[in-house]
Amino acid sequence: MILFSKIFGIYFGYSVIRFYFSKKLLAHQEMTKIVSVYFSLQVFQTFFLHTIFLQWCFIFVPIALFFGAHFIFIKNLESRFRYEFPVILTNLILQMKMGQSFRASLLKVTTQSRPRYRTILASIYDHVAFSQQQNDKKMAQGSVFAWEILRTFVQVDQSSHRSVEKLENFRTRLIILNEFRRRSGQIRGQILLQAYVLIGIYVLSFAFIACSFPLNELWNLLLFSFLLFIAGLICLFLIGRRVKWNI
Amino acid sequence: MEHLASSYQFVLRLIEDLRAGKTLRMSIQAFLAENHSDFAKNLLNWHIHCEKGQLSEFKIAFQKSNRSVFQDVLFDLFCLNMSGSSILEPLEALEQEMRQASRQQMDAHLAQLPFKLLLPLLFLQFPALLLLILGPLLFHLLKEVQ
Repeated sequence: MILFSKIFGIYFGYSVIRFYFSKKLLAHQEMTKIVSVYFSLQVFQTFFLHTIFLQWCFIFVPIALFFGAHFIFIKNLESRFRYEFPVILTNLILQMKMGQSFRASLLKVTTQSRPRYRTILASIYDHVAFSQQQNDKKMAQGSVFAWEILRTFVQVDQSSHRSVEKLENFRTRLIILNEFRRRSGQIRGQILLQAYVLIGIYVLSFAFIACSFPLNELWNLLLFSFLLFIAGLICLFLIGRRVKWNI
Repeated sequence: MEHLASSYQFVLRLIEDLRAGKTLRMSIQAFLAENHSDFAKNLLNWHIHCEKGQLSEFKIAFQKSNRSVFQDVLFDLFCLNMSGSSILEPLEALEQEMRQASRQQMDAHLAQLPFKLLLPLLFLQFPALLLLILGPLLFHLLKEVQ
């Protein structure tokens, strides 16, 4: 039974990582590191853990953690791409200033970029190169920022007049927007940090009280405390949202 | 939270579009297709009044509700553009001013934030934690005293 679960678990983990690799969401080096850590864990549990429950945990918990981490990674990918895109754009502009055409420069920049951004850039390149056949609306549903890039790139591709200048103007706008996005991220970061710390303290305190006292007599008190705490959290997030621009 | 005022976002985009050889009207239409803020509503209003040739009516209604000097200047520039003048240079100057004002507003908000974040902590979350920790203790103490 243990041997079967081990073979099944390892094969399942391997399939998941291979799937991510085939979709180009993981680089070769990243895949090697993840597989090495996973196999080290399996070797560790073979020698040191003998209960079935712990062995199952060691097989499947890393896979669940990987899914969770990857979900967060995908969520953050667009914002990281947004911050790093001006650098990619600078590379593209430099390639064009060296005398290459827009499409050749874009292709070169796509192949030179980091693997995690390569998929996004390759899809933008495909839409630019085959804009007659592609459905641009489909791309717009995926990411607003990718749609904005695509619109600018299609314009540059379709008219060769002052292409570099158009890209430079686009880069200037993105740099300004990123500066303000970073500052508002500071505000969001402060609020989230405060909220997470307080939630952590509250949950730990609740666990302590639940272990130390019989709860059936204290429900009203705890409910009132919980409602106060939730009201505080709501106020916290409302304060963060209340920036009324008068510009 | 909006990262940046819609009016400023539009100005940035308009400068880019004008440099690329597009017209004001094209830029407005593209912006209105994506943005639904209060400024976008004002812009749509301006666009409708402009099509009908009733810009003076728009100006009166706008000045009653508007609190931003920048938007006032921006709509003046649009009117100038409709009469055939180039607005790129004044628009660039306006963009500089708007950028500075946005930075100041963001800095002011960042400076006030620690104090603002303290208020729900002091008046709601701290009492909630005290109630959670000390409430059961006091409850049992009183019970034993009785």
